[in-house]
Amino acid sequence: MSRAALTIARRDFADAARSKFLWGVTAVLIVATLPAFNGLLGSQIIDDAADAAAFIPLSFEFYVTPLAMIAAYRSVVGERSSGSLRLLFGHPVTRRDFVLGKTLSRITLVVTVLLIATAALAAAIFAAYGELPLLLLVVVAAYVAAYGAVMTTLTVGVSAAAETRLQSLTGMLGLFLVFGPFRLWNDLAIPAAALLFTGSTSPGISQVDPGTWPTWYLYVQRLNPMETFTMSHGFVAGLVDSTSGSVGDTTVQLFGFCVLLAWATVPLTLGFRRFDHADLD
Amino acid sequence: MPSIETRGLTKRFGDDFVAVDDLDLTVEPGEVFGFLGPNGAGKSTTINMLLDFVRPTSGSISVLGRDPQTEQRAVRDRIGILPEGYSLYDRLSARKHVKFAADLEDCATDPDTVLERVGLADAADRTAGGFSKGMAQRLALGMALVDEPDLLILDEPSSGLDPNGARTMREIVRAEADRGATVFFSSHIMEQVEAVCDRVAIINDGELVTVDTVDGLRSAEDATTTLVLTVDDIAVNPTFTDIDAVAGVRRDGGTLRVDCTDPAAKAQVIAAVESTGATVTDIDVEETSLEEIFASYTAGDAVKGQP
Repeated sequence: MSRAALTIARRDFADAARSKFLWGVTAVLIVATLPAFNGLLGSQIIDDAADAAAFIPLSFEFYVTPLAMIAAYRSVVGERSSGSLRLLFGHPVTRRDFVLGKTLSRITLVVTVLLIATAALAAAIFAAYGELPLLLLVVVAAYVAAYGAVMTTLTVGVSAAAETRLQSLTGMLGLFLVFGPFRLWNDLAIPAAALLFTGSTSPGISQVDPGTWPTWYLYVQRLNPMETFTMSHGFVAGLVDSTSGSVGDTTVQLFGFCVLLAWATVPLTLGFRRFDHADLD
Repeated sequence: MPSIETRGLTKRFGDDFVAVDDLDLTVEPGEVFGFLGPNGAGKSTTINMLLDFVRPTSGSISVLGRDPQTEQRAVRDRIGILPEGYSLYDRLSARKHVKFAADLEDCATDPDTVLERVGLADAADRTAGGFSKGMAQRLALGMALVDEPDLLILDEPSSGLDPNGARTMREIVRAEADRGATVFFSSHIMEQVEAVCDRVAIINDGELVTVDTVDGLRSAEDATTTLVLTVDDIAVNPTFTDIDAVAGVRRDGGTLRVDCTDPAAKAQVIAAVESTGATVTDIDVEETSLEEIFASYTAGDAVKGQP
């Protein structure tokens, strides 16, 4: 990481903090997750404090991607469109420095918001059970933060590839529609994969009954980063607390993490490459 | 080693629009070089290629002896730029903008000194979001001056500036040149170029039309001095066939307009008139202005001369 990238990241993060964006989004995220989470505490679904801590990632399931989108869809294309990028290029800054600096600052931004929100949920756990499973909480928080970093990096990649802010927003919205709560992934990609592996688009798989899941299905599911995030939360919790998590098939879990890593690196690499070859006029 | 050198530089947009066509340009170290042309002539595209915002379709560029595309950091470390179409950070104060530039350059420049120099000392703590075009231009220039660049590339630096601002700009360009920096700046107004430039290139429709000193442009073949003589006797009809430097004569009543290709021929012309017995009662000299020279090089362009 070059000095220029760090300087850019620092200014960019300071700017976001000054805009009160950070605090507004954090407040919204807490309002969106805390009441529902609090309602679960003490219910039959959650047994104890450790169980509650392991559940934290599921509270953020549908919020991390929109958060990353809001925080980063303009990261590269915004400065490219407004022209502030042009002044940077009179100083010893490469296009790579710029994209790296932006990636760093937006990851910091998203991670900060997620950690504050996680702390709010942890406070609710303490209020309900009078105890905190600290190690488990740290691992869960790190997991949520890492997932936030993946989705942010993906968004920066899309922003770098885009020529306009609208393109960037549309691209991210498209990804969210496919992978997110609207189940387009299940309706389109799963049947397509089924056709590939079984020769039929409806091979009698019940999405709610894991007993009907063939091996290929386990892997295809994990290609969806949002699905992987929710399906791996038990595995992550199980690493430090066997009562609250379930390790499951380690190979499939590791495959899932590799997929997340790919989502973090491939779009950014491709987006940067496109940005690096573009005419910035 | 030239500060800027382009060879066969060409940029096409799409299939049919050639913004810059086979441009050969050499800017020597320490000179103030004016890059003149009407709007849409290809000035900004050329500058955008020098700065590696836009990639050439063909041809080569060397800035301070390096390729701006493959050696982005090394080139940008030694240049200061005022590009077209830039914007500032709305929430950042003027001082923090300069501080940011100094951080990027990794130098210990005092932001207040820079702001003083560009005439923004009073606005140091104001955020740039509320700046007028002229103030933004001053601030961007200030950021360009940080860390004493070897080469300043300024795209239409006077646009948006009031007369005071334009003077500050000229003074700074002169001072930077005196320090030893090369200054390359574009304009569509001859007047601005004339006042500070050692040499001028005129570009039109993406092609280089001419490169010369300001004096050289003036003495170019179609630059003439017109002697306007008022005589007391309107019947007088002098002949100038002996004088080679006279290119033409027009008369309107008692006024004779004599075009001279050599200003030194003026005394001979007056003597020839008075030898007919008439008295010259008034003498006026009209020099071809650089604006007219510029217009003649870029004729047919409807937008020239816009402020």
